[in-house]
Amino acid sequence: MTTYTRSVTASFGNTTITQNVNTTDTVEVTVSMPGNVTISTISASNCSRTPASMSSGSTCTVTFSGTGSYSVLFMGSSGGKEPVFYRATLNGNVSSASVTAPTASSVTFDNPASADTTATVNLSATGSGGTLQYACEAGDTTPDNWQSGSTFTIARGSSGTVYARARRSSTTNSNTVNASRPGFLTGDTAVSATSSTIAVGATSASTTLSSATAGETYAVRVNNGSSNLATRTGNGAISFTSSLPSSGNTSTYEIFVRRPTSTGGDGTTYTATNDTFTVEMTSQDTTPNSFTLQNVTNAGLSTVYQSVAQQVTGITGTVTVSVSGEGSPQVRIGSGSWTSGPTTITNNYYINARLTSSASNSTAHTATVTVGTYSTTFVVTTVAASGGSSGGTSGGSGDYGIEVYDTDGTTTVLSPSTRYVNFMQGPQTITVPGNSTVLLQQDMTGLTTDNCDLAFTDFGSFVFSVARVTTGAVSSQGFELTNPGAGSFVAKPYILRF
Amino acid sequence: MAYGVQIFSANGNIQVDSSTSNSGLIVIDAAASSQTVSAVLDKELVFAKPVATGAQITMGWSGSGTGGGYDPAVNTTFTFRNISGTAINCSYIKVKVANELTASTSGYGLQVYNDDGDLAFDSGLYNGDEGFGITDFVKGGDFNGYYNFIDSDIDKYCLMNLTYAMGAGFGYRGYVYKNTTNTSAPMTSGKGIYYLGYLMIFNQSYSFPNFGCILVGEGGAV
Repeated sequence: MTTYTRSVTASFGNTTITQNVNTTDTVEVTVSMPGNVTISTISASNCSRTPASMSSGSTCTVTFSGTGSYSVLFMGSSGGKEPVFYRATLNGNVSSASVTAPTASSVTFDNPASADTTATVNLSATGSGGTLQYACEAGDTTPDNWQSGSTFTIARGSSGTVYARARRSSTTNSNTVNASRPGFLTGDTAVSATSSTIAVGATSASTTLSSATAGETYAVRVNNGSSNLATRTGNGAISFTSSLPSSGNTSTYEIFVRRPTSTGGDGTTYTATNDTFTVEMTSQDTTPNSFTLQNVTNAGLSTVYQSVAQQVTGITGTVTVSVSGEGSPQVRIGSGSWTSGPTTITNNYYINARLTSSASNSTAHTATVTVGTYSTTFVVTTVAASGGSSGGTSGGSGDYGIEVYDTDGTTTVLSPSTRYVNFMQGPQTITVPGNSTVLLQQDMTGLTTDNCDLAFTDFGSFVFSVARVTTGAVSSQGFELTNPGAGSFVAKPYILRF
Repeated sequence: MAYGVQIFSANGNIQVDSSTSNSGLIVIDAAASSQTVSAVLDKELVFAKPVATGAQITMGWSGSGTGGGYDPAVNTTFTFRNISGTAINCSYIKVKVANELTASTSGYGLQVYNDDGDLAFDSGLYNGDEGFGITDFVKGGDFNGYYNFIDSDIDKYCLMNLTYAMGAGFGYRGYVYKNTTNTSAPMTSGKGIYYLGYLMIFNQSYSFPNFGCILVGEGGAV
């Protein structure tokens, strides 16, 4: 590319100068007119000139694009009735300029935390001639988005290739270089998650994230798992309700992270951070404190009886309750519905049992109620048949007598085994004068020293005697209190039979 | 007996007899350990045993009145005391004559009325304090009051009526629970329950026989 400087003085006729050029050359020609007349017309053929007119002595710039002969005519006039025209001509031949293609060496990318990256087309040789241009596109092996700049905006992608090249002219392209399309960025893995312990029966657990990156979304998964249990964005607590550990066990969970598209992520994929935390569920106590269900004795036939409700204590979490046995047994938890089970109970709730008594006399129906690992029974025993029943009752020493049970249904308060105390008389206040005897009248039939005696609630003497009178008229039978002293005393005896 | 019901024990002793005016005693109260008990002795009997065991645990009681006196017709709080008059913890069982109680309305169980139409027995009146049965007795006047042996089983309860324990200067009438097997005097029968009664008159002690019967029994399941 050469700039030629020429000068010419027009003449009446024509002054011609010749300058051969190539297409990249420029000719700057200074034209002088006799009498300094104005160069009113500048005509160009197969070239371009600037300006189209000018004053004498000025310079005109001529450029070229095509090849072949060219000419530029400068003409001026003296004016008047008989004007004189002066002319000068620049001509020559235009040949093609020499153009060398550039050499592309690589296409490289920056790696910003954003959705797009900047690609730079790098050259190892710039070439010569023509005009240097660059092209760069993803997925197009012959990029043709020509521009003078060497940088391009390329969107991130999960796959693909970016191609780039340069040129000096439409026919002098460089080689094509390529590089993998910049992929999506993953989230930051520098996050911490807290471990925790949850109670038996808990339906959720949580962890608290710290050192998380704002705008990124974090997910809790079972360690090395593939399903999100819960997610949140940035620091804070995450609660989850599935994949919880069972009682007495510990589970390990892992934090996964998702980067949004605005900072270079794909906005959908979670990647492992390798940051883990644990959740422990405390051990469950399924053995309640012992309790008993009060049995029923002397029950009517084919009748539904229920026990006295008992509070279940000493368990944790939800414990299974089952009932089995005779008489279609059922249980009820708290004020819930009766059920044949299985059902569940939690600590401090009340449990009750019921069943239908036997259709036969002196027959027990037993329900076994099991709470966790503890079992107890509820027994309903029907009444003996009228007219008596020989045997069949527990605790008796023979085929006679009566057993009476306390409210617990098991403790005998009356049985043939021991004596039972009866009040026969008294107490009554008796005054015994000095040196006298007073009779406490009592029909002594069947009463002996082995089954009857006096007891006192009060007495007023330390020296007296008691004698039994068991013969004679009933009106003269009883206990005689004798006072051997001079003064009277008062006693308050009662007669006991045992 | 032309009507009613009679219930006999294994030894043939009458327990319930509707043909008499007898009225049975129902357990209405019990305590595993207490220093006091409230009772109306006209209607109630109290049986007790000391909680502590040892070589010589004495047990009597005293009322709240002057000198330990009391009116048996009114409710009185008695304090269990040892021979020195110090309050001690005792297990007790209190029974009450059935005809002084309101008949149970539970609708089940056994109720027996006596010849007078009074309640002689009512199973529905037992309220969870379990039972009481007589296993031994000592006739009135049988003991002279000097460490008389009653029973070898120190888990048994003794009738507290007419015991008193106000302190050494007042004499003593009550029981001695001995939990050792030695047979040295005065408790030569070894382990067991003994009766001890004496009066202090002008600093002289005089043995005090058991004027009334001594009843000994067991609580719980009878």
